[in-house]
Amino acid sequence: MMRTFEPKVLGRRGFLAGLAGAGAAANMPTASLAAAAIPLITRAIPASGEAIPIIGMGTWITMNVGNDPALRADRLKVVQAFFDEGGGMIDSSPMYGSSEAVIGDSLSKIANSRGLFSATKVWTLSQWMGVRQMNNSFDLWGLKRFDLMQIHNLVDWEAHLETLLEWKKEGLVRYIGITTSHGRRHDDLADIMRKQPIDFVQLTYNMLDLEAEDRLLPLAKERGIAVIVNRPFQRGGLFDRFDSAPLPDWAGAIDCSNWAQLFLKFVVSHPAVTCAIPATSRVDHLRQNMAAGRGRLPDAEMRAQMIRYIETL
Amino acid sequence: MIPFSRDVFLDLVAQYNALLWPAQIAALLLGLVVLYFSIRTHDGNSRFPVLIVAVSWLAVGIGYFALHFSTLNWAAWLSAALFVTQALLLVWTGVIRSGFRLHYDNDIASQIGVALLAFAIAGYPLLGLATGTGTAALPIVGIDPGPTVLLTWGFLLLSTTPAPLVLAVIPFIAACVGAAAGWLIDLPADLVLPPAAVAGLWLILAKRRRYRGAAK
Ligand SMILES: NC(=O)c1ccc[n+]([C@@H]2O[C@H](COP(=O)([O-])OP(=O)(O)OC[C@H]3O[C@@H](n4cnc5c(N)ncnc54)[C@H](OP(=O)(O)O)[C@@H]3O)[C@@H](O)[C@H]2O)c1
Repeated sequence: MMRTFEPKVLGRRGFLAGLAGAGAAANMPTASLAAAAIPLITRAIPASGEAIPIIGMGTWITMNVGNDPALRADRLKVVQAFFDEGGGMIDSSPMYGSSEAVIGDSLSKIANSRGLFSATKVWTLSQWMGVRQMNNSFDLWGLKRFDLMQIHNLVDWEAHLETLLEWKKEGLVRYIGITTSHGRRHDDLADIMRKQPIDFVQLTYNMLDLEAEDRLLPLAKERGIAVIVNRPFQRGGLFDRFDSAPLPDWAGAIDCSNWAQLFLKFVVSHPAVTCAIPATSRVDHLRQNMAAGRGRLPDAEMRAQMIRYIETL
Repeated sequence: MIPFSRDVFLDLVAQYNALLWPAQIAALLLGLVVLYFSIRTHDGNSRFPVLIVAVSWLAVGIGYFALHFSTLNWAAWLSAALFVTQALLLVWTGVIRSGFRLHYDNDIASQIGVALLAFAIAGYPLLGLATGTGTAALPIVGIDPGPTVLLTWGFLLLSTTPAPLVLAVIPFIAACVGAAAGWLIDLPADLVLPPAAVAGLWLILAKRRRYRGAAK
């Protein structure tokens, strides 16, 4: 199924209209009114001023469930809950097995995905293979246009950037990005951020992996490049390490009722960050994560306190 | 990094097992045929058991990796290519050129060889069961890669003339990759593969040295 998109303005009205559509979808849970009452905080994409919710969703591992109908139905509930909660960006990649197909399948089955900010990647060698791969992603997602196409881990970035600049002019992609993960090729990425006309970078940043604060985040701010944060939970490692520890007393002051929200609020409160994309296979976790996009965010002083606290654990 | 979770992987294996049922019974019987030919003391040619092992590699390469597992992991195509290559190598060496004969010699290599064969057929699924794979996702020789690789190591050790080294390369790689994946997604049964591969390779090399020494 092909899908067209209007420009995203994720105001409260648009979100509630989406929820009304969701009610019509058969066999779908009704949307959470509590979530609808308080829209997610948004951040502007520097290149355009367009606002997107600060919490999105990743798909590595969690959405790679193959063709199994039961597992797909299970993940459909997660995607449904994501939109019920006012979510926007979904990030995937051809590297993630069946994740793109599972997302495309879910999008074709739910009615309230109007807030979708579609983000995928090109991850292959050579321009020709890149074009093939990106065309395949259009089919898998059921889209005619991607909001964001990213060059995954800088693989053959010169070749793909050439294609993407052309595609942006033609309206096939709205924004261009480039991704990396923890500690990988940061020098090259910084160089690209300085010299190339990209709209987004995606990098790893979380309460234990703070390296991006030194150079990449300030550079993104300076150059007007939107920042997507991957691995905000360090692939779940933050829970393994801190989940059994007590939540600090002051967590309530920034509207956090669990560790997931504390981890996410730390990340998205950095002034250079546009959005974080935690991945989950569970609806309850998804709802916890989305709630981090509401309420008060920590200021610089509180952020420092958060780091000091986890250092004591 | 593995792009899928343990649960999803086991679900995929369970689906595959269900799709092929009752081929598992035939696969286990063929495994026993290989075991029978391996321990029977005879000097006739071993084309039939070699063919069975080759078909197992082909079935796992095409059925398991290319047609089924590749939905979860693009790297399954590489495994498919390796498994098909091993099948072709087995056919070339053991069927077309009749490059080796199976024979139980009552030496350490033969003893370990038979133990590995028996473990591939019965021990692997039982270990899987004991470590939580569940009955639906039991790893079966000739159907799933782990026990097929193990069976091959046992089988190579039972060759009277030392097995051609070229036949040990892909099983060695497959043992390492399989165990690494098993480690990452918590499937302890697969951890038997590297010790078997190391012991197997060492014994094959020792046999080759002895054989060369005797030929001088
Ligand atoms: N180079 C790149 O382009 C690149 C690299 C890395 C990541 N990424 C993108 O970034 C996304 C996020 O990174 P990631 O998936 O590696 O790691 P992550 O989001 O830091 O962590 C995901 C893990 O956290 C768990 N989790 C999620 N919410 C939870 C909650 N509320 N409570 C407890 N556990 C929770 C999930 O398990 P459950 O399923 O049980 O919730 C999952 O195991 C990826 O999915 C991918 O889209 C891109």
